[in-house]
Amino acid sequence: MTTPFPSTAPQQDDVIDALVERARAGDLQAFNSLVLRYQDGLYSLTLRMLGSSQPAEDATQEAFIRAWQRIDTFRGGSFKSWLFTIAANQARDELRRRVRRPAQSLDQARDDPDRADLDPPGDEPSPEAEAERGEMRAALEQALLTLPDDWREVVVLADVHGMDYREVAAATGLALGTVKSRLSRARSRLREVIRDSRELSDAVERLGVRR
Amino acid sequence: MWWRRAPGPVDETPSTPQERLEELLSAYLDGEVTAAEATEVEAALEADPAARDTLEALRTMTSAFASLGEVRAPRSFAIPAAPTVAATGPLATFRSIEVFMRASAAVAALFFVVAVATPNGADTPVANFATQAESDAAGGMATLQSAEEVTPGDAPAPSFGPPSAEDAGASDAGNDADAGGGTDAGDGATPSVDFGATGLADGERSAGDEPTDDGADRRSDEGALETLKAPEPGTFGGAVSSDGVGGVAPALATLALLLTALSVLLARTRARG
Repeated sequence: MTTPFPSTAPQQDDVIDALVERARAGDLQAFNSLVLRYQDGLYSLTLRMLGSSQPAEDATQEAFIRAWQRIDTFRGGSFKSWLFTIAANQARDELRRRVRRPAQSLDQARDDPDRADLDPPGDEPSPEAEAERGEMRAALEQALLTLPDDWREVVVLADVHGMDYREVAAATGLALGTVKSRLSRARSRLREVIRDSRELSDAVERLGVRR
Repeated sequence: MWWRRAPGPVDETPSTPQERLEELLSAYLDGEVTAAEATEVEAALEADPAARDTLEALRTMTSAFASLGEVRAPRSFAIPAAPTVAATGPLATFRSIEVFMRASAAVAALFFVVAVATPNGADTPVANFATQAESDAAGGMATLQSAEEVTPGDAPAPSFGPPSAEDAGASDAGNDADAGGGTDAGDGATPSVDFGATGLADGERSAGDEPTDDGADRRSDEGALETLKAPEPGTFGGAVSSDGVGGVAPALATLALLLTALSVLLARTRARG
């Protein structure tokens, strides 16, 4: 269910740069090649920020449409980060539109059928191991949902999608110092949640060690 | 320094030494500390086992979250080409109405241009229909006049009224005028009576010049007459014959303008939507 992370090899960067240039010249086909390359990342981000699949699909589609409409405003740098910034803004807009709802409990979130697709398959040798790892991942995804929206956004960008602080600051519009402190706060909160759950503690131990 | 601190929520700033240490450890883990901060963290790690535990727990946890990776998108988010995007929903309805409006405006404008740019060229057959209905003998003359009236800017329709009754001459002359029309282009202001005379004269010259074409000329004349008779009363042609260009052209122009304005209005509505 997962797609490979976009390679950062220089050759791949050249391919992306060429596609971006063609897209900037109005080549929709080239832009759609970039869409296919980054759609898993953007969908993952919006899904984790929004918590369910349909709003995530809508936000992802809208983000790509906006990116296409504003491709001429891309001033170089990481195209992926630029896309993530648009998608994060889109998801944040959606969160603002929502009536502030209380944080979901782990059990509530686990029962949400939309969350089922947050279990990406790995390279496990057996179906049992696969299922077990899927459950551990699902538990971690639910733990993320216990965070306030603005904290979760920072954790997802930095810890799940591997952005550095500068990229997170650009994507969220926050000051670098705020990213630093907010990420620390969010991590502390997550450690508490994990400490309080045997299942989560086990999941973190096993998934964290394997990496 | 409080005056250098960026404004923000109170809870963004570490309020205790423990929180500050955790923030430093978190940033240290990510390689996001200055050299001075790194030295400070390393000193704390050296002296404090709890700091080492915290750093290790953070490292394990962030590694676990990083292992979540990307979720496969449930569908393609590729953007369809513009026409496909427009092919659904109320937008499509708007577009099709707009296209209809524009096409109608274009057709009305075309009729208007034809009616205005060739006043008697368009008018002549129409006027001749009435003449044709009155007298069979006028048929040949009507053909002659029709051909003659290709000349731009010539006399008004009522002046076609008194045709000569010389059937044979008119018949041949009418056909010949098809070729002679171009040579008569400069005679636009000549009165209609003169047209008749000129036409007859041309016709006589033609008949003299090309006697072998007589039969073919007659057949062409008959065809031309049938063509002229073709419009039925009450059809568009019939309506024009009764109203004349003077009544139709402004109506066409108004229709074209109205339809254009409506299509622009629709386009703006759609753009706002």
